[in-house]
Amino acid sequence: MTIKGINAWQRGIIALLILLAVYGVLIEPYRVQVHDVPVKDPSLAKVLGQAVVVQLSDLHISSMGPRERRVLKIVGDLRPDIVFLTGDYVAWKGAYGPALDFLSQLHAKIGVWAVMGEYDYSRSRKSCLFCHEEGSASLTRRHQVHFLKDRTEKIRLPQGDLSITGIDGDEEPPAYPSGGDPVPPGERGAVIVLAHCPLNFDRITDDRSLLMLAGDTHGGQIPLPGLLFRKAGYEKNDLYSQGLYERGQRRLFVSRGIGTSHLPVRLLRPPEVVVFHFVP
Amino acid sequence: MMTALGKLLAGLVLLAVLASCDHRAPEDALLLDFESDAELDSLSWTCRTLYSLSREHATHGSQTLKMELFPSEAPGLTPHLAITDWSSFAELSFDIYNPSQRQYRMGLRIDDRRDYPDFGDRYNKGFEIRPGSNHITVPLYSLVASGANRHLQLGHIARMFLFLPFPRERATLYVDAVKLTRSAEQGRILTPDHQTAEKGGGE
Repeated sequence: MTIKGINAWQRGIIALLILLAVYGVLIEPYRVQVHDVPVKDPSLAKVLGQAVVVQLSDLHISSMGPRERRVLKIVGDLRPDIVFLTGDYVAWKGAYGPALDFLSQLHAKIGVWAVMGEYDYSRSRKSCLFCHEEGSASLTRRHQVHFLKDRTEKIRLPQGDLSITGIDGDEEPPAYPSGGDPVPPGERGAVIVLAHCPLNFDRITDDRSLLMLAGDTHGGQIPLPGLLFRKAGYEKNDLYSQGLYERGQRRLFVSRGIGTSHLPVRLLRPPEVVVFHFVP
Repeated sequence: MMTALGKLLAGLVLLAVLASCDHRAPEDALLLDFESDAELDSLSWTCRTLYSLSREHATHGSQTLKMELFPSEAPGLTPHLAITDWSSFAELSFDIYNPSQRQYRMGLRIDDRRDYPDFGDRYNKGFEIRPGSNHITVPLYSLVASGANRHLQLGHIARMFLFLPFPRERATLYVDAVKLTRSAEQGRILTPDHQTAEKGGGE
């Protein structure tokens, strides 16, 4: 039996699509999960084995809404020792104030280290506000986040040193880019590399123990074959959509992030607060 | 046989036709004159360079770009180019005011490809910035890639960088009137007020 030319099957499919759309737009983007990730790395286990290490990525904050408040609540409850942020805090050419407010409410016992993504440079002039007071070369006092722009910081911890390298996500390279391996060759031991785009993993040429944390892909936001993403120009989603990847002693973890871009939808790719557990 | 009145009318028509022809020289193109805050938004802001508008040392309009350049690899100016077809122009020119007593050596890089060509495949030029006013002109015929005997494709200019290589201490410079001119100025004297960077060598 049909009603207005649509049979029962077709009505069922339409109803399912409507349900999926409602769920994907109104529910899943706000279902922030805690994602526990075990990582086998003896050096990081020695230095950070007892620490609570959290990664947040791709917040794409337009305003301090329920999702942002939920993330802050989750992170606060975790009482992290270290928080790593892997870029894209703002919407494309959006306002920077809400993201800076979010960062000002983010705290960790040892510290918060971050890199910027290409969205954060979508308003080049405003991007300076992540590190500086407006119209000034003075460092900002608005938050405590250490932004690493193609540089390395060495942190002295009771169990040993931790090296943190940040690869900047600006798609406009400097006038004289240095090129080559983005991680200083001398960095050995407990090494964490922050990058926005996971394709930076391919730039590390020698086989040494390190963990790269990245984001950018959002896990695709909806499950689609990698080939489709590649055809659409998103090679990163085909190669490193989400989760842990290993190549020799090098490991890459790609977070599916928290916010959305292009379309405000997530299906089977819920936003995540990542907690790492390092084991020898 | 044409009467005197006919000749007069024909003469008037000829005059009208001649008068209707546009004998004005083609206009120059002002790329940047830093008269509005919106122009600051069009710049590519990078670490170690701070831009602001200033009413000091303006050579065009009432404001100029104040650049505070901090010790780093290549702090400087990367403007968004509203005009990328430079083929109908003769020169690139700009004014730089150096308020210090130090002489600086600046670099100018021009690319004719979007994909960030290597040093040898782009225009690179060093030039001196003396204390006080500096008017810099770059004849566009001299835009030759450093490592190859290749003239840049003036119809496809992708970007320009004006920078101070490896400053050891903070430097302040004022930039104004970045423009493309249709005809080269003649008889320019190479004084601190009128410098010409003429050849695209690898410096």
